[in-house]
Amino acid sequence: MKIISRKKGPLINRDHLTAYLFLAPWLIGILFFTLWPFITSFIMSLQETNLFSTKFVGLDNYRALLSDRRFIKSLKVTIKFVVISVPLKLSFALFIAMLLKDKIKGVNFFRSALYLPSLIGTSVAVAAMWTQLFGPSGLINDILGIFGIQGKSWIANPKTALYVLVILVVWQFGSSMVIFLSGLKNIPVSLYEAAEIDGANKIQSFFYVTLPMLSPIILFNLILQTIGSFQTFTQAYIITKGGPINETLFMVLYIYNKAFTASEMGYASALSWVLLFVILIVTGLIYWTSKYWVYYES
Amino acid sequence: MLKKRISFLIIALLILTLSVSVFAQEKIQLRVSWWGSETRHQATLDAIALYEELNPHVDIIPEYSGFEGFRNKLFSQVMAGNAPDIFTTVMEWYPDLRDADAMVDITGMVDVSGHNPMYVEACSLDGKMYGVNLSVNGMVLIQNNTLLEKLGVEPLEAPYTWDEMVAKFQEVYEKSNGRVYGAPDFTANPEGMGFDIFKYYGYSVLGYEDAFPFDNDKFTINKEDIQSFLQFFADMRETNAIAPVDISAMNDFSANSLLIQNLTAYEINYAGTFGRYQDQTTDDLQPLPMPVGPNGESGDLARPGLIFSVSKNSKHVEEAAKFIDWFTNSPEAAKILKTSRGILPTEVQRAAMLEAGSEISAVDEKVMRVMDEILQREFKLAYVGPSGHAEISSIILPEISQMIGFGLMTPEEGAEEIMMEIK
Repeated sequence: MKIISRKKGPLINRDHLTAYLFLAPWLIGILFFTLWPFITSFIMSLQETNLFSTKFVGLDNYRALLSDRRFIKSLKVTIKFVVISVPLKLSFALFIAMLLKDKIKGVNFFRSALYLPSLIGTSVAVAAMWTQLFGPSGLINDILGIFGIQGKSWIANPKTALYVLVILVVWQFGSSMVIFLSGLKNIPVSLYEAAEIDGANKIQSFFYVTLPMLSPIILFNLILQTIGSFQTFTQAYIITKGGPINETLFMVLYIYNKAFTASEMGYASALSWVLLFVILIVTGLIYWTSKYWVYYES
Repeated sequence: MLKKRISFLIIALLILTLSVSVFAQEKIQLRVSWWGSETRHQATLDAIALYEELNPHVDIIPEYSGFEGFRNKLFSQVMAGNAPDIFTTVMEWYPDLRDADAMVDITGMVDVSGHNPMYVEACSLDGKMYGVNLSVNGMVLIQNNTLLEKLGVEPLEAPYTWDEMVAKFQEVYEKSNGRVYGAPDFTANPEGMGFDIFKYYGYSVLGYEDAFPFDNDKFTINKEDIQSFLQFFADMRETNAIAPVDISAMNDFSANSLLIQNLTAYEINYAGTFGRYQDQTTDDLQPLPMPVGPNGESGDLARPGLIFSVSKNSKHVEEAAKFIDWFTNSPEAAKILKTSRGILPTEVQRAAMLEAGSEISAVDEKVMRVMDEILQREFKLAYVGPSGHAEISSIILPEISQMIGFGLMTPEEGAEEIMMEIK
């Protein structure tokens, strides 16, 4: 085998060309399937469109948003969902990760089994299963019936519908759990030993050793899950269709409705950009607060 | 030597591929799309196979799926200029399809003399025939006889009045000790029949003679009409004649159907969907014509069940029209298609199917019988309605109805809200 020596040469020489060739699928992907739709959607957000014609209207779509009560509702519902589901999901993931971090018998089995719900995560099948579980004559009501509790139609009741979806996403805690697990394993045992010598019990060492040491991982998970949570679609689309009375009309679902049911692409594009800014602001806020609670060892 | 052999091989291959593609070109390809159930898919595929046998120069490429997403797909195809040569549509999509210049005027290209003229008119827009009706259809009240017998409730028999129907719903709830409701709340479901029932209600109860609730351009109703309808449902909710909103909102045409789950004894839908319900249960279901007003007023609309239209981008409009002609007029197609799309559109085909006699299943016979009853009543012309009205039926009515059902609004406020949305 001959080692090819790197020579200084023009910007694009043969080596570079080969590299670009190998990068091409990714480059084409980002240019045509990310950047291009990105730009187009911004242009469309300034237009009034129906299926077959477009008209430039400036910021009218954005102005219309302010008096659109469904948009206000969907913004509220989405934020409520994020605020409830993300902390719950992360706490649950951390709790399970704590249980699974030690070498106990069959730990690998439990880790895989608990990760499974996340693998089949946002699939339509799971959402369909949820409809069956929480429907008027579903399994949940059957179980409640054993204890003599009169169940209800959880999915179509405005007071409970959102929480049915919260339970579903919390149940899909696997990916956060795996990240927590690896984070937990990186905390030096010496710290725990030192705490123990100082007389700390399990709970104290959790709050004074585990949490601070894990805080960068928590931040990472928090941002990831918050962004994901803002973009929840499949579950609501299949299970509640945004109902009852718009109690689960998440932003992305509303965007979908506007774009593909009402064929108002321009308005839907404006909605998408608003969603992007909402996510940007919230993520920025989280990031800004991080300097107060995230501990970096170095 | 080797080189020679290779070049000979290449030339031979070239000739082969060329000739194959020439043969292939001779065959006319027609893409046909439709939605529906397994039964409909199979029947249509069989009919297509027969047509290809009779017309060896035509190669038909079927594109079929469930209803979910069909409209979106069709409009995307239209926008991209690659819609199927023949596609299935309903009259409610006509204005959008016309605006998109998606359909060809096929007046005179398909023989429609065997159709009921009301239906031919409904398939036309601005005097242009943009499609051919594939089935006469009518709304029916589906009744679960097995369940009624278990509950000790006498089944309804046509003709019956609205009051008799409501009383029957209440009786079901009482006799079942509150386990079974009369029917779902049709207005509470985004995919429900609420708005269609409203149309019927206008002619049958409110005494309208023509164009209700809209003609092809504008709404023709007032607040009192809507309020009456909303109040009618509020009253039925009050007495548990219909299932509460939170249960009704879950109702669909398949796994979550309240009728199939025995949570209700009745359901309203089009006759064409009856087989779909019966396929999913061993209970004895029976379709009945809709209720009538005190003086026997009915409100059945000559609304084409399904329409075959020819795409503007089709290169073979003549051939496409020929296929539609065969599909809707020939006895041999009738014998294969049976009731897979509801009741066949032309008299010739209906007669051919009856002749087939023993081949008709019990389900088909029930549907035929109820459609016979409905076809004897006075039909009203169906209107497409002003553009953008779809939101009223699929989003606004269910939303308002749910608010009323959950006690957040009175029927009067609901009617005001809907009138505002209409304006």
